[in-house]
Amino acid sequence: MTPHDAEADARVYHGLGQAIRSVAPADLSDSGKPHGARVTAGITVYRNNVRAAYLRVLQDTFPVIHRLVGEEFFRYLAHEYFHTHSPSGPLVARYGDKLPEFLRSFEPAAGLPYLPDVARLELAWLGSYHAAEADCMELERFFALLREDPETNALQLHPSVRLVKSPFPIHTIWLHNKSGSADKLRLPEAGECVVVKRPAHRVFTEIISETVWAVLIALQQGKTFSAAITTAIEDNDEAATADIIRKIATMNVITAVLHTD
Amino acid sequence: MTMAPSLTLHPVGVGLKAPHYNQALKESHEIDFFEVHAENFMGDGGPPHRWLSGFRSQFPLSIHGVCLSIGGRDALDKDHLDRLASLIERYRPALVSEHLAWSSDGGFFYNDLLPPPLTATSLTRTCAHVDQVQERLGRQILIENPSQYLKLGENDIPEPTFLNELSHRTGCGLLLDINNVFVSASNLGFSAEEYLDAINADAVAEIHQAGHAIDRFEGATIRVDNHGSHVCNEVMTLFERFVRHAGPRPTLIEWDTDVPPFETLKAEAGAAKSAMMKAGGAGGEYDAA
Repeated sequence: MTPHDAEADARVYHGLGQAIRSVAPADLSDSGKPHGARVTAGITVYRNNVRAAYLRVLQDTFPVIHRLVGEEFFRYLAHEYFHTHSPSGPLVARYGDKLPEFLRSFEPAAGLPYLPDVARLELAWLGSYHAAEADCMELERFFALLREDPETNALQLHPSVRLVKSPFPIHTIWLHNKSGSADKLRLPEAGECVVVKRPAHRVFTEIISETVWAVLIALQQGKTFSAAITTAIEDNDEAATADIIRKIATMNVITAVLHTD
Repeated sequence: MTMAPSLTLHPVGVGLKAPHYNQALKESHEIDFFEVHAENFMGDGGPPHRWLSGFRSQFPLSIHGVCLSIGGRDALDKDHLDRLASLIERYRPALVSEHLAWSSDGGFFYNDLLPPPLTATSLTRTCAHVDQVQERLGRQILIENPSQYLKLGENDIPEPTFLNELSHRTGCGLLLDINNVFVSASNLGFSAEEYLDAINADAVAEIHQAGHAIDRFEGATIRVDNHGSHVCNEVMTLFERFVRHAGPRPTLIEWDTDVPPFETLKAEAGAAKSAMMKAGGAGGEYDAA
């Protein structure tokens, strides 16, 4: 590469790149030079475009967080996130993946401790929406296969299944704000476990018991059905076990019964 | 998947937006093809793919990538190229396009289409990237001219010459965005007419038409390619001038911000079709393959 071409590369990729990324609006213009105002304006357009594009990604990914904190705070959050988590890849839709983690240590949002878990629920919803297609098992076939050898059966969860657990009533908060309701919300005191699933074209969310949540998590980790149930239910409680099997069978989340041996 | 109908004479299309899916699938007799951004369909499944499959069974598609960073100095992201290849394999679109632009450098992804330097070195590098993409996809791609907001020093090679040479060396086609030409010409102070005259019209296989904004700053006014309004009169005049000279090309209306009702997009596409018919030019069926 000639020195001339190397200089052009540095000016465009490094120079413009730095001007776009810097926290303070860069002033590359030299007031003594002609066209200085035009250069500053041009750089401002690029800076604004990049920031606006990432702000839109966060707004699209987290509509409920946006509603909960309001436009002004959300813009501030997006600005701080941009300068903390440098966007690195072309899958722009995944840019917000680290927002829940970021919110956990984001001091200005400390007064809303449920925000990180609501953000996790929004990511779960989006992940479920874009997940691969699969057919859920029919009830009769599910029970027939399960009876064959319950000790070694593992259940394959639908690829759209996402599980979110929180000490806060995140589903109640999320649903209330997603619907755009202006009514005053009476919050339950307990936390909520949520399953998100898309058995066909629509995403469904549902609050589930902590026991069902634990069984589904164990299944997601590849445990056999009986091992998953043992993990979640103490004392070999037959009635509780029957309830769990019935519940999971009717949730529309199982795509296959697999023999693990 | 069966082959979608081929593009016919004076083909006009619109960029497909989610709020229009339902209506567009039923009420698009005047529309000849739809274009989508590749990156919006890189999930594994779900409603986006269900909709796109529905459109693909009735219309030719154009798949327009915005994140490959073909004009960058870094190596192409192979995983992303694989994702694009899977999408192309799945939908077998009539047209596939990307940009003479960079979005990624040194591990930072800018999520914007930034103009590259136009030097002998960057031409060689961009040719290698286009070769790599066409080889991986097993087909020709079209490369779109970027919109520019400031002059980053003197370029060695004029942009039309750079694009013509890129097309000549790699066999890629060109996607001529006439609004981008007008925006760049206004911001950088060159003649849009001379730019269009210098472009190798034979290589142009698609045209983009869109609206732009005018941002006023202290001491400067910048035209910004925001795809948020009607195609302005000056851009329409340039379009008519080009098709009078070159003949009709598949012409797409892009409208990505403040998305209007679907009828507005259809009217814009109708205006482009009328302009092509009025301009005359080359006859016969346009072969987009």
